[in-house]
Amino acid sequence: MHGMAEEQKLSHTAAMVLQSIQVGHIYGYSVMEATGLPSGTVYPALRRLERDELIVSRWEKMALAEAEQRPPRKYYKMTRTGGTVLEAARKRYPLLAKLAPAVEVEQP
Amino acid sequence: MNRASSRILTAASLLVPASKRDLWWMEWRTELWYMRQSTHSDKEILSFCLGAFRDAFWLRRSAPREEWFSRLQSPASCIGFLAALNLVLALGMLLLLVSRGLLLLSSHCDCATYLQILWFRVSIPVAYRYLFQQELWDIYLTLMFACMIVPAVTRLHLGSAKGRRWRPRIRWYGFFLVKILLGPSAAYFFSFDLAHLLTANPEGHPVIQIYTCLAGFVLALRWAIEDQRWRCPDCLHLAQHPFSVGQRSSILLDRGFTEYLCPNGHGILRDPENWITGPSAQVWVSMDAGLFPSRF
Repeated sequence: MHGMAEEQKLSHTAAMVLQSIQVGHIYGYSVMEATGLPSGTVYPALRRLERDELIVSRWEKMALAEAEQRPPRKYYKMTRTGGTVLEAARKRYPLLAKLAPAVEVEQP
Repeated sequence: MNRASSRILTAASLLVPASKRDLWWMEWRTELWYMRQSTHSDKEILSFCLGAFRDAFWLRRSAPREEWFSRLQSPASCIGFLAALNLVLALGMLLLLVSRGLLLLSSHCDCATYLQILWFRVSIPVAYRYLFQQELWDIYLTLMFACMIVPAVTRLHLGSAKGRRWRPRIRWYGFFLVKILLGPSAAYFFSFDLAHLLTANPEGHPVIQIYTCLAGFVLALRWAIEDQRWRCPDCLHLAQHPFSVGQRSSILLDRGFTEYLCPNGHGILRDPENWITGPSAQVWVSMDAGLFPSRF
């Protein structure tokens, strides 16, 4: 499984998005802010990564969001395969870590 | 600004397949809400919303063939739909001609002779002129242009009817011929209706008609060819139940493809992710007759 995952080649954009999710930008808008990519690139990239099972998404509980008087968010989380693929991508794109540095965000 | 961004998202949502539209809409509305909370200019918010089109387009392109196409899966329902469409549009055309004639004549004669004149002196000759005389060459030329454009907008590969017995082959090409006839004719009727609805001129708007007709012919021919590729060579039903095979990211040695199954179990259609000329195009793989003996 790991061997197969490592074979998967990510584009630089997809690698940036995956890297930003790994460092804690766990929803679409924050990924956009962290990477500086436009919305028309980030959201399709997130869908592609989810389709390839490199990330998974889940909606925040409605009650939690309503208590804070805001709409529920869609959170993304990297899978184990995603981690392996990202490792391989970091070797191809050494500057990846600098492009999307780690941040402190509140976890859902 | 709120209204503009909302309208952009609404317009983009039309591209999203209906089954995914609600969730898509919810996601973008949520993200927009959070974006508005932070300090962003109107221009940035507008640019954010415009990105929804790319996202919606991606969803549309990656969605398996379903929705209304699946309703036309049997050859009978497909031909029936095209025939009904032609009938409705042709009736619209006649109705427009009659109503135009009615308006023209109403100021010149009384009601008693009106219907007689309308049908025998106006509607029928005018309809005849439109259908068989004046416009015939325009239609031929437009169709010719459309035939030249079609290879640029789709592959001319029709699918596989080779190696079949003569009866399935005749049915296969006959079905294609009927679609080729009914599709462009519906496009013509539609262009006529549109050109006469958009102007008060009794002759219609020639520019609108020609351009709509050309676009309609191209779309109809393209649809007829693409639809044919997804038809089972044996029963002419649309292939269904997509199943992805292979890794999407490994395109060099291990190219991925999607398999579609004939609803009557005659075979499998292999649709490669990236179309390259030669043997890597769509391929029908017939199933062993012994697997589904009841179908014969």
